[in-house]
Amino acid sequence: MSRPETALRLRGLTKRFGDTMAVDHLDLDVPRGSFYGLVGPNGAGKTTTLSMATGLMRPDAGSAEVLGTDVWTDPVQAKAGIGVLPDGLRIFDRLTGRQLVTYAGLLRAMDRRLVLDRVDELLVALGLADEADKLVIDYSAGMTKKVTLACALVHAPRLLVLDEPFEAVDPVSARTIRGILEDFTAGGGTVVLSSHVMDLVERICDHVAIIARGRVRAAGPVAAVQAGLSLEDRFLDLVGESTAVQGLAWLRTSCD
Amino acid sequence: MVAHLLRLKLALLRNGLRRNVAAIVGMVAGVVYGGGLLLAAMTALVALRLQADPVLTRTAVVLGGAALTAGWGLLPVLLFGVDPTLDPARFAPFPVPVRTLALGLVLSALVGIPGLASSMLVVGTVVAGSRSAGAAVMALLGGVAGLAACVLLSRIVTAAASAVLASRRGRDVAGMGVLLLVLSLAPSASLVGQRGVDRHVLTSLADVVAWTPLGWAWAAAGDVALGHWRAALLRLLLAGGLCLALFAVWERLLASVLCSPRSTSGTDSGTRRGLGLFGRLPGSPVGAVAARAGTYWVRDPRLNLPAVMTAVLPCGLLLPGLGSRVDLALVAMPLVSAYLIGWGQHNDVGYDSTAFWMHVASGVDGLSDRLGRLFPSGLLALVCVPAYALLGPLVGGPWRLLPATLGVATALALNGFAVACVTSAVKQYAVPPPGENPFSSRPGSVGVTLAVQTLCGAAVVSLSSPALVLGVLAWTGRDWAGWLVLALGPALGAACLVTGARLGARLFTRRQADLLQDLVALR
Repeated sequence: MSRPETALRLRGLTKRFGDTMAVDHLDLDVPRGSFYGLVGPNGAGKTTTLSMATGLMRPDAGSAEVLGTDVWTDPVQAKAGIGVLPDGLRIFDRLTGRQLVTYAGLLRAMDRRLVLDRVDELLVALGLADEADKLVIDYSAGMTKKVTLACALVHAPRLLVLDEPFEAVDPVSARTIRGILEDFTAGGGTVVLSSHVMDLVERICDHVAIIARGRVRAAGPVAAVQAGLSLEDRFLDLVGESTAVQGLAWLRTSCD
Repeated sequence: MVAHLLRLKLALLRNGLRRNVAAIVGMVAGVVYGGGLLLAAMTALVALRLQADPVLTRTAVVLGGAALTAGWGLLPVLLFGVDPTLDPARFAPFPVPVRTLALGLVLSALVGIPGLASSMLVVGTVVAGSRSAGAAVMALLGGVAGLAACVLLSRIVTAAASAVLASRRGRDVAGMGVLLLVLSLAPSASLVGQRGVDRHVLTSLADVVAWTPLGWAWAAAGDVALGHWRAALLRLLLAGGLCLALFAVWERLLASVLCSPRSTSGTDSGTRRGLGLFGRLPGSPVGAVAARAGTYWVRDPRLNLPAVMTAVLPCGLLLPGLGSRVDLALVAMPLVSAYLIGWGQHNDVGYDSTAFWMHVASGVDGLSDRLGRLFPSGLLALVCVPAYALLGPLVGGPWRLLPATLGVATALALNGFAVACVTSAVKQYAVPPPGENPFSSRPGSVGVTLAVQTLCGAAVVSLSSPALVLGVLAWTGRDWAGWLVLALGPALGAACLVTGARLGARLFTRRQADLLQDLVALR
């Protein structure tokens, strides 16, 4: 099998909800081994894009290829190479953490012994070992993110697609997750993550794409996209929305 | 403020319908469903005015009104779930005076199909009671008081129910209470069946009910028509007093809910060592899905409450079976059990809610997903169906029908599973989200729910029709039909299940992403 140089290749991806164009002919190439950040304002279409790229939402038009396999014509093979951490979807939270990650592995037709070994390792690495036999419903938001990440990793994917992986995660856990992801890319894996925390993306990603109103406004290595500015300033430039506070004068009179 | 709440309710209703076509279809279905009943009731009420006997009118209006009041009190909790749109707890953050909020929430409960239908029924009772001007005025006042009592009662019951159901222990107790209530309905039904419905019995029943809180408001007009002015005024006063008392209770309850808003998450906590079913069932995708489904049946009150109900419900048939020696009731036990268990699977994916993404993202094959889901209910059927089939003859039913009941019941259960395999890959309706009150429902979804349920039921029955025909032949004395269906029923059921699972698996493979987005929209 040839080893394509792009891990994720989106072409003309389009999704419309009623009158709203959520994703508008979006093109994106994520090189293999990169640590790719997607940034954009709320409602820019990040989650929709990632859902369509991972087979969770059918696009109206366009294609998504993962490691050379089309997600929508050969979903089984494509999905075997992807690990997903969606945002805003539930998980089977009446299982214990150990059961949930085991379930994720077994669903992918892995051998049970292999699954159990990896589950133990993952739970230790993510600092969940003490909580492994608690129901996930009793986990904090950050622990839930971590256990979902374990589910995404258990089958050793080549591409990780993470929607807001650092939201509600405390700094210690964030550092742990970051370490795991950096090891993953160092070993040849590819990470795509979305976030609206610019500083974070600037610090940990080597590539970045700025998405607004369903299209890619700029994409490439972080330094190239920054063009000498900080990522946040560059982002505000591209998205082009005024940040000066207008009105609300009455709010400033609260000292009387 | 009250007008504001009414506008809010209207906006919620409209937005609920705007959200998807299915809700509109469901609403139309609900209107057609309920509209027919309403039309029949209105016609009957007009007919009551036109006939000569005021006692008959009074009996009908009193019993009907009492039933309406009881329905408002019980149905939201038992059948349709608590309407969460105007859940009092949601108003906790806003500084609204309790009395205003209490009044507004009661009035807004009238907005919607049940409120509209009940208001029309009240108009109908005014027509039925208008034998004189005085009676008409009394009917109007009584009707308004009765309607107010209905709505207040339903508000109180739902608020109290949500408070009780918020705790896991409360849920279990409530589930058992509901079960006992359902079971106690059976003997009263059989009593009525034994005695037959007698006009005199009904008249004296109405006389009794007229002096209970359920009947006060509805009996006043009838009293006037019969010339008992004093009784009528007394009942009207009592009805008015009841409304005031109910309002005071409702206000109290509301105030306490607003001061201690409950958390929405479930309180089922604790630790479970090891892997549970995941370690015992085969380590394959189908085994994993089965283990997950089985674990959920044990831990999730949305699943184990109905499961217990399904398992115990056919026992209700024992009462007519033993009390009045109705063999058919005993024979029907395994059939009802099999039907309920099989058919009950048709919305299984809906209970996953958006956690279903895990199946979609893993690319699990359709057959594993379809068959794994059947594990817990299959186990239940394996225990319940033979048990009920044997229980009937053991307590006095005819032994010669055993082969027929076993054959037909197997066919019903397997066909139910077959239909479920297909429907749970096509269209799922809204169920209470995980961790929520198992008795809550989404506004505007009752119609879709009823439509899907009816369709699934019809499909199961028509697939089972060959077995059912043979079963009827066996019932009428042809023993060969019983033995034939014992062989044919399982064979036909197995064939249907194989076909259904294959078809369902193909649909699952093609539609899984769309199914997930449906579930996201239902969230």
